[in-house]
Amino acid sequence: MHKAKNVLKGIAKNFAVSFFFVAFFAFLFFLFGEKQIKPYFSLASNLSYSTIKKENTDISFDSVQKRLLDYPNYGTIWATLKIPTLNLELPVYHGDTLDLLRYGVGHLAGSYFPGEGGGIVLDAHNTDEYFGTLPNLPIGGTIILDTIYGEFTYEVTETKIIHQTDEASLPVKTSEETLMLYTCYPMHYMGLTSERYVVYAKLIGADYES
Amino acid sequence: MKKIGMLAVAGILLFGFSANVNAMTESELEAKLTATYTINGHEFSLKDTEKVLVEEYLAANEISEEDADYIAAKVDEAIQILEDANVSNIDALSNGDKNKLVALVSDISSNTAVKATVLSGGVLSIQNIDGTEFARVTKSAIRQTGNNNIVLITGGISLLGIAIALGMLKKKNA
Amino acid sequence: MKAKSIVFYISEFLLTIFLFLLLACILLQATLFNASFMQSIITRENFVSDTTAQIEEEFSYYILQSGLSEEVLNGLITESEMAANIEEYVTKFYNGEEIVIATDELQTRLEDNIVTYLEQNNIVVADEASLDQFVKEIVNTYKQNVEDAFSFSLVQKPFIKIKNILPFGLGISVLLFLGLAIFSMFFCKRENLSIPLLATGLLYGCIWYYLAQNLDMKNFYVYTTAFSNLVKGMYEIIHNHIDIIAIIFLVSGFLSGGIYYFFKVMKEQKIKSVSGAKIP
Repeated sequence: MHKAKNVLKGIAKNFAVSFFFVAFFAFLFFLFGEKQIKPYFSLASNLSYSTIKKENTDISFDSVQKRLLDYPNYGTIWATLKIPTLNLELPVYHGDTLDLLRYGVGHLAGSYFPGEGGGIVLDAHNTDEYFGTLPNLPIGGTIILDTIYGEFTYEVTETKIIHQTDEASLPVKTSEETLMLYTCYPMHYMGLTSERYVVYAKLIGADYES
Repeated sequence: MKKIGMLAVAGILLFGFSANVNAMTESELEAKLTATYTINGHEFSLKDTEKVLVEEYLAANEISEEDADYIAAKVDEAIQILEDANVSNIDALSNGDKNKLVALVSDISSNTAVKATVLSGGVLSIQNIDGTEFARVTKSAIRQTGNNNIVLITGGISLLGIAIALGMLKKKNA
Repeated sequence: MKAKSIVFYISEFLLTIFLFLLLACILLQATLFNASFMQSIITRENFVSDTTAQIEEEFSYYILQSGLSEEVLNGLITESEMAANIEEYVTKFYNGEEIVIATDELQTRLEDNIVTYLEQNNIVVADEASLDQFVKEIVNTYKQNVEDAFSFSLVQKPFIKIKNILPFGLGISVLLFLGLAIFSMFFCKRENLSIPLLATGLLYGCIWYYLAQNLDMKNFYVYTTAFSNLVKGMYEIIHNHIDIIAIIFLVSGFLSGGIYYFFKVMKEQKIKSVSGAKIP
């Protein structure tokens, strides 16, 4: 019994010394090193990407501030674009990266939402299923955006052909609410084109859901 | 016991100094981020779509006062870098100064709750604080073929940070 | 006696540092700075198939707006070719050679596919420039995706510097550790390495715990799924290795100390019994 006690005592002494060494290293680390390392750890944790989508049911509109109280998640449908003249009814996704444009109309992130009073930029491919028939939409034609928080009606005021780098032709900070629909031009072309066909429309009616 | 006491003192010294004094509200932060700055006679500001993104992000997410202060301080540092360099555009900055700007972006991403990442093809994906995806953006506003616009910043990315860096980098294309 | 004691504890402390550095060098050389390790993670994490799938998916984004058919993308990239390319990039990366992503073959195949498609469908294209633009975008997409998937190349220069320094670090750590161990064996009558072993085990255990608590890699995502999984896979294995080192060295430390004290006690007992002292 006494032998075992002596052996354990010896091990405990060694462990205590080891523990003291480690505590000393830890002290130095927390004093000098952690500040350097922690931001990288935090960075690695912050470089994240989520595929979780929130339901868009809670999104409402503050008509006084003229602002949405929450915004749809990327890649979710928040409206239906209706162009009666062209017999078009298409889902509108938040975001307009190429993966989304396969399924419907994209909404440029960084352009406003209907009712907010700025420029709303929507784009889609130029096949007949999407925006391929946009040139048939006359000035004065009606475009309806049936959103999750209300219905907005626009009247076509102008059409234009722009170069793909002409961002100034798609302004978002506008004095009055403007809906801009664009697609590649010319239509039904092989390959990728450098021109865009743009339809401009002004807001003529808004029906907010209570 | 003495050791624990010393660690506690070290802890206070390390973290105590970072306590905020002048807390900044979200609207003040929004104003700061979307303002136009005249530096050495040249105007620097975010692109309009980026301003809208900042407005929407701040409306949809609760940014703590500490984070707002931190981001605002980084904006000031970015302005200071441009002022000290005395250049008319970002292209004229030395590599050292450009790296300093990138480091500011990295600082924001690593020291605040703002989460974002770069996806394939230079698409910036910004996350809401609740973990859902807020938006994906590329440098080009006009979609179709612009997949080669690379927003590649090694180290770190954040919505507000990238907005600062890109907003200022934008000048080179003006 | 007192001076010897101080020298003994200082030597134990230094031995702990050298042993820690020695193990760190071995760990890094065996994992992060080892091309075979990288290749094994590439296989484990399905890096090649993920990268190929992502590139094919992104190619398809361009079809709808191009007016062409999906069939022009047939056979553009294959998993086996991608695997060979990735293996070459890994080798070049670890050898410090410049990584050049070859796109000529892809471009030729795509152009051939387009010509065949147009001929088979009797399509006459008025403006070749728009087709060239399509080819350019597909080639860029491929190049960008491979670059993104293998983003390690961004840090190749500092990586190679560290890789070249590591063997020297390891050599110096071994020499210092052995030198000091031998010195203290004679000068301080050291008879076991229990304290450095235990302290090193504890140190690695603390690092493992600190990483587990502070580095959240669960949702880490940057560039592509393949690249993110590669980074997460590497981290996971290195983290596990740290755990294993901690356990091995803690156990060795306890065993080394236990055996030493056991024989010490036995020896003392023997001396006492020989000298006739009463054994309690």
